[in-house]
Amino acid sequence: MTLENRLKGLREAAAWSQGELARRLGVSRQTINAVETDRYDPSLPLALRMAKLFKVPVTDIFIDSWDPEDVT
Amino acid sequence: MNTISQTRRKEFSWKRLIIPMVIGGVVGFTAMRLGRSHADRLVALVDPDQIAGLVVGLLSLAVALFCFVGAFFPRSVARSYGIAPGEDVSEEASLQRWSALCALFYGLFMLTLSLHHLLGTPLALALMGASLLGAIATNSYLWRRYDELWREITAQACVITFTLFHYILLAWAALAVVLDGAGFEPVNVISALLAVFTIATIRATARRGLANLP
Repeated sequence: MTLENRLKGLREAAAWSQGELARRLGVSRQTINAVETDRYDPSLPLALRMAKLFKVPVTDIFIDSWDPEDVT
Repeated sequence: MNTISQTRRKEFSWKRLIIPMVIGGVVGFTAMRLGRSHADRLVALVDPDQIAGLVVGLLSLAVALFCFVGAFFPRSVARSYGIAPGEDVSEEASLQRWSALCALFYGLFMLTLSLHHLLGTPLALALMGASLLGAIATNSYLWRRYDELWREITAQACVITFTLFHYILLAWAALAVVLDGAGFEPVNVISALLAVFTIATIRATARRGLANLP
């Protein structure tokens, strides 16, 4: 199960194509596509690079629905 | 506007279903009619224990040809890699050509292994050695070009293959040692390994939204 994310919205707000974002992050277009379609969770270094690039916290890009209160 | 990504839903199209089926049927029927006599002659040349190796070798060559030719059609490459039409696909086409070369080396190795008695020992050893070195070099080069997604797909395919296949290896070793060489032929073991790895790779790739065949 992968995390939901807002990568596509951030990319579109920056008016970048998947190829342009991939080039800026130094990964393949397939990686961007797989993340945007919730089929791949990026590594921590890549998630941090995304956050730096869009100047937002990582938690603004990736949404984890886990709640510590649920753990008994 | 909801900016949370959503999994894309593929629209069902009769055209996309029927046309490949018709083409596949026509090509399959023609190949069957044309290749029947040649296939019989080819199979007669092969030791029955080596037929699996021959089949895997021919399939590898077919994959190599399919990938190599497909790399020259940008729309096909874009579809396979989930890229929007019109975007530059030269990087992906290059990777696909290298993958084709890799499949060619595997195919050559398996065919030589299956037909070694027709080629003679020196030539068979030379061909197998060359194709093995070629496969090692191509795989190393591809691994260096891969980014984290492709490396994870490769690693996942390897894990699935090992998890499924190590039982066969254990049984093979047990039969060979305890029953003094009885058990599976090495060519059949390698053929099964390559078949399992191919299926595992397709599964791992498809799970990431790739491998959208034309």
